Amino acid sequence: MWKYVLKRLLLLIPVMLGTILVVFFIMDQSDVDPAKVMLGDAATEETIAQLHEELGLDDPFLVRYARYVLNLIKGDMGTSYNYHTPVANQIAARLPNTILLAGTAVLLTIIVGIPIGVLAAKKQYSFFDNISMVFCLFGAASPAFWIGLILVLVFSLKLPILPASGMGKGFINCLLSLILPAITLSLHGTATAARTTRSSMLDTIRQDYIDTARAKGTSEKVITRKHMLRNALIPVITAVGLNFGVLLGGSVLTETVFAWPGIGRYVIESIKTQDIPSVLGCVVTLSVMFTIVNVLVDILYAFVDPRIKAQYKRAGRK
Amino acid sequence: MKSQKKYSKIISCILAVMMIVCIFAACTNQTNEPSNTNSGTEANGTSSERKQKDTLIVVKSEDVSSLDPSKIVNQKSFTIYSQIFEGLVRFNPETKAVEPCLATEWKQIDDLNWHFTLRQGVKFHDGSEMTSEDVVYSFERIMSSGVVSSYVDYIDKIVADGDYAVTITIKMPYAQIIQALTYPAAVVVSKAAVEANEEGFAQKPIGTGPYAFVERFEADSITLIAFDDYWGEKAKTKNLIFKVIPEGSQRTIMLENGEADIICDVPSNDAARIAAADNLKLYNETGNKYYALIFKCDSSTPVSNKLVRQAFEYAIDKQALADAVMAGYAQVGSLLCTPATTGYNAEKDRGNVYDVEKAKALLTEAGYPDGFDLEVYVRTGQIYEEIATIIQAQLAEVGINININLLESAKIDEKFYGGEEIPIRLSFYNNICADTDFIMQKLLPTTYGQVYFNDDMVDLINRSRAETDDAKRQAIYDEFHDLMADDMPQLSLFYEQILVGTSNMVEGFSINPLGAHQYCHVVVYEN
Repeated sequence: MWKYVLKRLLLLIPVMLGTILVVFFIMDQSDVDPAKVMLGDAATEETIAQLHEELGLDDPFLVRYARYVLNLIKGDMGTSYNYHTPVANQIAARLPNTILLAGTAVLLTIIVGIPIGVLAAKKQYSFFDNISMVFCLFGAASPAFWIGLILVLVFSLKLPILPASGMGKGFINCLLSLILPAITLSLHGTATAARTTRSSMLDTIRQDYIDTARAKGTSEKVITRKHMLRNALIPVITAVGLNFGVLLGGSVLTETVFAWPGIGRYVIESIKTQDIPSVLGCVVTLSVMFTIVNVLVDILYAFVDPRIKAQYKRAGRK
Repeated sequence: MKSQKKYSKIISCILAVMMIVCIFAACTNQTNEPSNTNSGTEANGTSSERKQKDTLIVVKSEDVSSLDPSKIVNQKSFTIYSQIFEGLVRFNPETKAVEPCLATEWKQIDDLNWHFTLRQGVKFHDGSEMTSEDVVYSFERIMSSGVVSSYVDYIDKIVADGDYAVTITIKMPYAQIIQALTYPAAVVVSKAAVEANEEGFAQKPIGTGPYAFVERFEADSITLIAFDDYWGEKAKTKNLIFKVIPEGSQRTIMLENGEADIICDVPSNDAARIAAADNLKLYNETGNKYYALIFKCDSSTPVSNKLVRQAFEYAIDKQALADAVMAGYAQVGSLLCTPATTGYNAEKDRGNVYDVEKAKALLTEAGYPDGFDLEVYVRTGQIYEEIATIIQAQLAEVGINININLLESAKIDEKFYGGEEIPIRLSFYNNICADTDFIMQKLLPTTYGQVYFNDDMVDLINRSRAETDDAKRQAIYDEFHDLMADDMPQLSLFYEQILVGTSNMVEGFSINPLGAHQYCHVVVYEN
């Protein structure tokens, strides 16, 4: 099985090369000259030309691409055009914040979404089922920037109990400032998880082995937990796992609305200022994270479902 | 069973509707009634009983590009580095005059030489003493920087005269030199600190200002601390923290719920709400920035005809523009300098001259009775896009059909300075030296841009720079205003008002028309 995991991790290399190529190409298509952005309106032509030379901006596309990849292998993500400090330091300072936010959001998704889905399936067509599905529709349909602002209006302005933005210093303040962005970020995922759990549970409920378990006299609690939920979890894990990957990179809006000092906000600032090394650094980091999360999700399947573990073993041998 | 299902569906629908209504109620309530959580507190009168806070939190929309004055001069950067660094002179927003700062006095030796006596006993934040060596080094550094040198290019050389005096030699007579030295990048840095670590200086800037640098977290916050050995009146609040919050409404909410003491860059939509709130104060003053249509006077399109350019001014209703785009927080005007700028003359300001018939008559006289089609280049940004859309509709009434080209400002500049046909640009000028001379220099046929060709400009700028008497120089500036009204190389739309919101607990704040507000006099009390 570990061979399989190793294979998956090796696949990261072509994925990274492709991702960097695409981002490099898109940033290259921009009309804006990064040297001018860096130096401002008052800069002289000679200074701009000199900076072009220093940064190698006039080299052909493939030369710049190859240089970037080679430096990346050496662990050098370059220097930010905007902040004049190593991109790697900037990312190292922000990544933990993004992981904290995305992690909390996923935790909320799991502890709220899955129970709602299970209850809704168990009590299909009940009042609770209808209510929870309305909530899911609402959660999946409302955009993060809107929900974020509404939460701020209610909890920071009307009932000033939670901070409107930023990341608080110290454990308690940090926790308080985490609440609103984490709820905002988790809402979409919670809705998806609840719906997926519900439909997956409904499939399982109708299976013969559930009737068999009941006939054996197994308690309903055990049936729900062991027989239904465990079998129903595979699509849920996929949904939540993919969602975590998306949240790591997709917290851009939430981080901007709440001024959360994470990677999402950094990448937006960098795009605005044509800070190509920073944008690339962020995209590379997020792609690596996304791929790793995917591999972890695949491994998790094996623990939940022994049938999949057996498949992995076969794939590893091939 | 069936009826129970139907019943629960109806209830869920009702609950969903209620949820949506509640959310809308939260929104509408907010906009209609300004928050009133602190209405009982009076700002004045009880200051002796109030407890002063030791931290002032200022919220801005953008992070600095650099904290090294020789690396960048843009508003988002100098608003912060002007707390850390000081120049030879400074602008006092209370008296509206330039006053001594690191130089205690100055005198003109002859046409080209100015002698500055430096203040003694001034300490840098690292404890070393400031001498003429640092001043000479700082000026030479910005003169050779390439990034910020263009506004000190009148300086030929600067030499030390003992430890506490310098002589600045300029290239041509320049009566406005003292005003020009308020240029935000013309500040004194510690020579030893820069030489020790030139590259890292922006990460740990060392100046002589009332606040010293502590730490910076890029795109998030910058923390400063009051400098104990400051030569003048020490900063009144110990810690000064700048936070970067790009979202406009979020900044307003932070002010309303007390997370911020001062917010800069107040969105004009929120200004009225802040002004109406009992526990908040809105500061608004006309700054040095004006928005304008910039014509290429040698264009191959009809705008090369000055009658057409004049017709534009009559065709545009500037007041409607200012009301719609800036929610009324702008002053309509026609001059290429704002009331906060030296050289402004209210008598010469025609304001809004909107008159469709007159515009049509001018177009007919110019030979375009049926109007024409034209390309207009607009820099990206909500304000510019809104202005362009309104102007498009207004100009259509006189038969001028403009096609809006939306591009990044740097890209428009590149095309423009590259000599491409850009008949009209929609942009702004922020008069960084607060003197009309700044914009006159930009309109010289020989300087960058090269869109306006009139030798009278060269004559005007030479005369104004040689004229040491303020009243006589104003007369020359008036000639300039008349020339601009006639030739119209730029059409000034309105002067921007700087909007700053503070809590009622903040005292001692005043607006700097360049946006570089000083926080060393600000006190904030606990609620």
